[in-house]
Amino acid sequence: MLKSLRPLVRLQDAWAGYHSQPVLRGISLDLQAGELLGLLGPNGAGKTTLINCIAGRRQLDRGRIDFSDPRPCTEFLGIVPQSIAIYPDLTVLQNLRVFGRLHGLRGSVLRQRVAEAIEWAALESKSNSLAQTLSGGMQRRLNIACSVLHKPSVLLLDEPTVGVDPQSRERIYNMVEELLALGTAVLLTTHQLNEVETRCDRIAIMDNGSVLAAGPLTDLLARTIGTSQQLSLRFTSVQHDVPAPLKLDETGLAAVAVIDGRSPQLPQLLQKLATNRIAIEHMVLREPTLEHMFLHLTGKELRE
Amino acid sequence: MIWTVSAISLLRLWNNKQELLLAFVVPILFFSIFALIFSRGVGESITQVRVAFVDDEGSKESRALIRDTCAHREIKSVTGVGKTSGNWSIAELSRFLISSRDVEVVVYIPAGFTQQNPDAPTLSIELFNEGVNPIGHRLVQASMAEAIAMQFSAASIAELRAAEPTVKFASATKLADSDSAGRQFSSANALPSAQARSAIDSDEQAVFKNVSAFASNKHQPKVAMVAAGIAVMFLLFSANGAGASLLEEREAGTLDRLLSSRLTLSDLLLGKWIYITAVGTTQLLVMFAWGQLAFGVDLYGHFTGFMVMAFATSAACASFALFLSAICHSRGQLHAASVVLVLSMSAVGGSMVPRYIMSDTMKSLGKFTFNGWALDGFQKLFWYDLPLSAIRAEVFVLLSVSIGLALAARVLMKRWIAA
Repeated sequence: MLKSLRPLVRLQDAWAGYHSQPVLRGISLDLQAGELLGLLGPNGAGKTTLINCIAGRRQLDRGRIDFSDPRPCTEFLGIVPQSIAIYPDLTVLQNLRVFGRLHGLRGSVLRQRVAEAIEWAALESKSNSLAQTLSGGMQRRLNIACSVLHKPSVLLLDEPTVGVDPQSRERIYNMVEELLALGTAVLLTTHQLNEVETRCDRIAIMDNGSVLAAGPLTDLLARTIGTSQQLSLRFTSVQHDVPAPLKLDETGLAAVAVIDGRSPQLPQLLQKLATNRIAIEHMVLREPTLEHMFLHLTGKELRE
Repeated sequence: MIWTVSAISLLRLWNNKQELLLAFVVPILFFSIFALIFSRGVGESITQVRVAFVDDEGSKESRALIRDTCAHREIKSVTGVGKTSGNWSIAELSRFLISSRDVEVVVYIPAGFTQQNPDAPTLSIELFNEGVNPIGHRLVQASMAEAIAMQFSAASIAELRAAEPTVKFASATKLADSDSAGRQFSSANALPSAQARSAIDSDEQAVFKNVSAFASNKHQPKVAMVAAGIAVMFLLFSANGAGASLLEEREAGTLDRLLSSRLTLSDLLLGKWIYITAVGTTQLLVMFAWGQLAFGVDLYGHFTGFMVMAFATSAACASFALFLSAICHSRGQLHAASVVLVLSMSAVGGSMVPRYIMSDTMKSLGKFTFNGWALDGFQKLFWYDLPLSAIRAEVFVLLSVSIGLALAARVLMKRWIAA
């Protein structure tokens, strides 16, 4: 659900590339206050380049990025890199202090923000521990905390939950929820489809430098695969050819297809299989999900 | 199984080109550098002593003496032959020539040396040496003695028998007879008769007077030079270690975070440069302070000059480290490059082997190293006791290189932002 209609970031026909090879191809996207926008795309889709362009680390070749905040973007933008970009040989407190200073905080304001950040990230008991001695989840939380000391109105989160246990993941999303409640606009890139499905207000699916679809999940599903369902079949013997729209996997023992659940497509398909004497061992029919939609739009799995 | 373990290690070595480089190329490189140093250089088979002659006599005999001395391959006349001016004493002139003209020995032939009364010699050839090279002035002395003896032998035997040789020449014959290697001179040794020998039986010190141009009243200048040599080498290593933090930050993604704050790339580089320079200067200060406490190095007496040289050297090392970090793609690459470059510069620049034993070509190569310039500066301060103004060339070169490399690093690091 959208929490505001005020776009903090607006990309219009953004083009960028490396060595005359376009990586972003005319991206248009809004990011609004208090909104969690999930950015999905296979590796090489252009997500990191998009984040770098928003962060000002890369110039656009064409198009524009507008911010509603008139200040320099380093003052209202926070970036959480995918890697744990903290100093492992500094303590939690020291890490927060140095990154706070780099964001221009000084004196009592710095002390107050650091104290808030430690509490927010639930690292009170570890404030004097070296960062390298923290668990993976704690390091991730510190990684995020270091990026929000200056209270950014826009936060770019690049896969913040990679390699953390479910409890830490939950804690991280609680932290994000608190930021959203304060009106922070959050752009989240992740490979965790379930996180995007359950957490994000809107989803943008990217491939080959373009946004293929963007909007709330329900809208996207209706607009893209509609009433389609995913059919998964397992055969009793290896098959070399199956009727369309089934797609065999590499073993030849299973196939998937996206079919229209309201049309007679399913009975017709089953009839064809019977005619071809293809015995089915197991059959599953699933409701449309983000994964189906992703497959439908990009023709590939997210991790390909 | 055992072979598989060996094969894994071999494959890992093969796939890691930096390690491969360190394992096989670096030993060859260092063997070559030291072989060149100890085989006396590139394109030269001998180490030459750079000598300046100051001939106040200006006679045919004295000119012949200089000419014959320079005929030795070990002697290289670097500033020609001149006379002392009225303004400078020979000691002052020697210090000037040694400290600013890359001369190792200044030979002073006083007016009337070859014409003096053999029975009552009052004049000596003075050899002013820099004190760093312990063999240079001895080589010159031996060569001059040989030259004197050859002139002596060229004179007619009849004249010799008449017992009218220049007493100094004869004395030199004795000196050369005992000190030099002999060679072609051995036949000439047979020339002086017993009569002549008795006539020339005078103290050899009356012929050659060795004078240390700088090293009197010195407090362990050799230790200071060793400290400087070692310190510069370690400074280069530690600077490169600190410079590697840039690549570490880049690899860890911390650089992205740093640059997404209010920090600019120039700020980042300047911050790193200040840190490396400050640590380097402190390292040098600590090392020399220890040198003063434990070995009597006169740091206190040269403190201002020392601090200027320490800062310039550290600044150059810091920029070098940042430049290397900028051109390398990984810490592994940086490690390999810094080991090769730092050890090479240290070997050629005089941190490992005294430069006076190197050939002129190798010494010239030393001018392309931080070590060479830094050691020259420290030598001027601690050995030659020269004032601050005397090290301006060294300071200028080190600081210019520092600025140049830092700017180059800044330009090269632009690609990090675009990546």
